[in-house]
Amino acid sequence: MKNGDWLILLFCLSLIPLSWLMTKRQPGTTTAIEITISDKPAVVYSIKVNQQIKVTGQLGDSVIEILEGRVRFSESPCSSKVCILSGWHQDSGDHVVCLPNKVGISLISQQDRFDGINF
Amino acid sequence: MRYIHTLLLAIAIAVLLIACDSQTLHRYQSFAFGTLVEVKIRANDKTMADQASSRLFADFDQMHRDWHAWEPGILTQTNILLSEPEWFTADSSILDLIKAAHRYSLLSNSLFNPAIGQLIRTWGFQGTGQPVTPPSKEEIAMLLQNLPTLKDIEFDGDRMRGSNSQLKLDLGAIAKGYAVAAGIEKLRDQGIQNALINAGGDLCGIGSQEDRPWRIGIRNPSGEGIMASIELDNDNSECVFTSGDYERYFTHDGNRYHHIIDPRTGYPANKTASVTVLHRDGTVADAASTALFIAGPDEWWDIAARMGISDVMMMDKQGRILMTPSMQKRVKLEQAYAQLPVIISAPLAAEPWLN
Repeated sequence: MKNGDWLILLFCLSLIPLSWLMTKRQPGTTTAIEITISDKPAVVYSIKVNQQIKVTGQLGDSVIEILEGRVRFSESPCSSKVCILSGWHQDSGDHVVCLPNKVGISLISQQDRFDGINF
Repeated sequence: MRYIHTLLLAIAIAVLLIACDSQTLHRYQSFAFGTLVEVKIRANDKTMADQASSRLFADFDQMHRDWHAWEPGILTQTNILLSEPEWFTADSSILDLIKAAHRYSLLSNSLFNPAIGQLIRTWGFQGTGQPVTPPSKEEIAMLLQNLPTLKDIEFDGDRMRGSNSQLKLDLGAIAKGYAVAAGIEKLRDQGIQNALINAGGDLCGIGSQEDRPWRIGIRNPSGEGIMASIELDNDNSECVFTSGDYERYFTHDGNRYHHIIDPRTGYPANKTASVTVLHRDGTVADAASTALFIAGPDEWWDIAARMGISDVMMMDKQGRILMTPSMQKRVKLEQAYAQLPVIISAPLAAEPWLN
């Protein structure tokens, strides 16, 4: 190999640690929510946009409210209202579920600070 | 031209080296056990991860139907047979779970008492509806008169018989732990080395999340947000289970009634806000979190020692945090909670007193 080859090889090898460092992102705050209805594919919504989302589950309509980076069930057709009583959620890796209506919300980020939330 | 070949070769080497370092995280969700179950698998082979998660969800679905406390299935049929004094051959899909429940119920001095299905039903916590009023004092007193425990079940190999016609098994405080622990073993058997199963806030993990252990946030029992975090042991499987008074409750005449019933009083246990247990076995972690919640801040250490639990964190009704010394080493409190009073117990015995 000539000098030019060695220079290119050296340059490319130097990219390895740089690329590795770039893939190690820092844990972030929640950026989006995923809404799962029954076992259908989840739909993603930004958590930065304040909005109310009406979804139709097995029992009827649930209303999911996003406000200032937090999310909650604000209305639900279920009788127990466990989903509403659980209040606001904001941590990535967290989940909130209305089981009777088969509606689930997962809070996600570029890289979750937590891999799961225990409660 | 030769330079271009060298450049392409070097880039290929670089890409390969980076790819070797990181397995992809695959994420799956399905409804089971009365909650949303999430499975995270870190593996190179997506097909293997897809297949393993599908099998897992199919198993969970079957277990959920077999072990349901009030919808007709194997458990309800078993309850009918247990209400009679004759021996019967137990269904193999539930026998091991009932034996585990029996063992941990005895170790917990029957504070974890899955035989009180009738009492739970009377409170209205079986079914999807919301209870509106508590049962009358008379109803509770009547149920407590001849309160069943798992001592009322005799075993002879795969045969069982009951000796209390009031006995109605409700395995809701152990079934999820048993299933998640079994799920982790099944994933391991299929060659999965890094996985986390989250069944509605109760979790078991093996291996790690890329370059660090699986990191679990523990929700504040009295409000929103995260109170503390734990990193799971990445050399072995490990589970973290919590029982709290905030998950299911109703309010009547200004009083709040939650779903964890103290079998000694017939009323919801009233000294604890939440208990978190860390253990290698999800079955015992699940049962112990209920038993310790009922035991409360005055008795929990005794029950923990009997059940062979060494990693416990409790928040009592006064907002105090109680921890075992070994749990203190594992838990990292969030900044907002670092000022709360923390009481560290004396070291607990690592082995159960009964075998």
